[in-house]
Formats: sequence, structure tokens, C-alpha cells
Amino acid sequence: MSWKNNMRLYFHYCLFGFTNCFVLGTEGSEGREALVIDPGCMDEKIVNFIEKNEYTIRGILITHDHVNHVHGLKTLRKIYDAPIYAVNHEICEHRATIVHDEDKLQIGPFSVHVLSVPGHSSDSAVYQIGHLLFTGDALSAGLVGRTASSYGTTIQAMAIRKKLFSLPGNYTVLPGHGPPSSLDAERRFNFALEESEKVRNQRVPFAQDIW
Amino acid sequence: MVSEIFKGVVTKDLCAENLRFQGIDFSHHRFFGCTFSHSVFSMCVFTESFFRVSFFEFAEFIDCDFSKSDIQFSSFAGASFADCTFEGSELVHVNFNGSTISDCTFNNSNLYNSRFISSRIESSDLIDCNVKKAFFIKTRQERVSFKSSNTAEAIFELEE
Repeated sequence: MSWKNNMRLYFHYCLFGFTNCFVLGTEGSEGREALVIDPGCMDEKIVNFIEKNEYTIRGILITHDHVNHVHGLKTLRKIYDAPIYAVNHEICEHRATIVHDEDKLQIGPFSVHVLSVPGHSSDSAVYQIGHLLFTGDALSAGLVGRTASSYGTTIQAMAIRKKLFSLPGNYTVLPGHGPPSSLDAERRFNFALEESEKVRNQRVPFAQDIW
Repeated sequence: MVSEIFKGVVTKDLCAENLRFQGIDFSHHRFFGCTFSHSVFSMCVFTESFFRVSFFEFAEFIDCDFSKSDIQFSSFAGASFADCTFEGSELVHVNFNGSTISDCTFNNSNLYNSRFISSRIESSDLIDCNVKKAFFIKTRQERVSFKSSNTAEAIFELEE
């Protein structure tokens, strides 16, 4: 899939865990480079896409350390020796470069802005690359990530509003599950955030202090 | 002749927002990474067209034919559809959240993993469809038929 700013986006639906895996690559005749985001599975189709385009994998971005988003990591690392970027220091027994909230990384030609959005998991991160937002499970079309407690739900909703919805203009939302969306559409139609808004001021004053 | 210009063409990375298209034949057209948000399409033909990672958010479709189209990983969030047909289409991983769908037919279509959250569907048929893993949360439905459709793992929570 060709994409803006001389980028090429490949979407793959992993039947293991029903997750979305993405390969974001540069275009051009030679020296093509790519990032893999959430290798929930690593099958022939993805490898063929990488090989056919002669990509050098510059990095593997992990939105959170849940098995359905990282199950393909071991296979991927057997083929490509690329560094892993995650909030957690270790993913599937592989050492990762730790990323922090508001980090601005330069991975090959890719400028990556890290936004920590905990709630679904404590290590949930959103990666902004150009006008693309790889949101993992924190935000998907019309929904937000499942949390283990109402506290987690509130923390997540606040982080989404403060860090994602406050971004200026529109962005393409590429979630870990389900179809794509845009920030404009999520600002208007996110059912789960509407629900959390109803109880926003009724609980967790501590969380409000944090954000 | 204007209506034939787009027929069977491949369009990549086009950003064409806030435009009006009337009576255009987009049949067999292939859209990759395109954005047509806030545009209006009336009496356009999209039969056997192909969409990947394309965005038609807040667009308006009136009397359009999407029969046998292959639309995957694309978004029509906030769009409105009136008198449109999607017969025999692949509508997999498609975002219809916040959309208004009236007098449309989706018969014999595959809507696997698509979402209709906070949307409104009226006088429309989804007969013999696969709606496995599709989400119809807070979807207002009136005179909608899912007869003979596979609703396994689909989530229906009708707005009260």
C-alpha cells in the first residue's frame, strides 16, 4: 500500500489474536528501509512483502507487551536483526530499547514520537510517525482498550484526551484491532470515551492530579 | 465521456476532499491510500472497485452502486449512504462508525470485522451476509434485516 510522504504502508491481519501488524517502509529505487509495528504473527506474506521490496528493517515498535501483538517477534528476529523499541525492557526474552513518554526517536529515516497511554496495559504506547498514529489497543475505531479496573479506564480516557485528542489537526488512526479511523472520527464517534466522560468527574481525583 | 475517465484506473495517495462527483463511473477502479473525506458522490458506479487503506469519512453517497466491490481496511466513518447497493461485496475491516445508512442493500456481502458503532441503519437489508466479529454497538436500527446472515461473534447492543 503506497502512502503519503514517500512512505509505503503494508497492513496484515493476523489470525492469531486477530491483530493488525504493520510494515511502514520508504519508497525509492534503492536503500529502502522499514519499521515493523506489532508483529502479532510473522508469516510468509509479511516476509515476502519485506523481501520483495528489499527493505532493511530498522526497528520493531511494540505498542504493548501482550502475546497477540508480539507473537511473531521471535520469528522476525530470527530473520532480521533489528532493534526492538518498547516501554518494557524485555519483550519475548529479547532485550528492548526502552521508550518513554514524549520521546522523539530517529530510527533510520523515520521520526517517531512516543506517547504513553497506559490503561489497557501499563506499558501501552502510541507511536506517531508523520500523520500516522499506531495506537495498539489504547484506541481503536469507536472503542478504547479494555482495562482491568475503573481506575485504569479513567487513566486511559484521560491520557487519550490529553495526549491524542489534543494533537492539532487530523491524523490517521491505525489500531491494533479492527478497521482504521481518523482522529476526527474518534473525537466524534468514540462510544467508549463518551461513556467514560459520564463518570469522569465522579471518581479518581488522584488520577486527575496526575494528568 | 467525462463519466468514463475514472473507469478501471488505479489511484494512489490522492487527497481530494470536499469535491462533488455526479454520475461518474468508477467501476473496476483501484483506490490505494486515497482520501475523499467530506466529498459528495451521487449516482456514481463503484462496481467491482477495489479499496485499500482509503478514507471516505464524512462523505455523502446518494444512489451509488458498490456491487461486487472489494473494500478492505478503509474508513467511511461519519458518511451517509442513501439508496446505495453493496450486493456481493467484500467489506472487511471497514469503519462505518457514526454513519447514516438508509434504503441500502448489503445482501450476500462479507462484513467481517467491520464496525457500525454509533451509526444509524434504516430500511436496509443485510441478508445472507457474514457479519462475524462486526460491531453494532449503540447502532440505531429500524426495519433492518439480517436474515440468513452469519452473526457469530458479532456484537449487537441496540440503543434503547
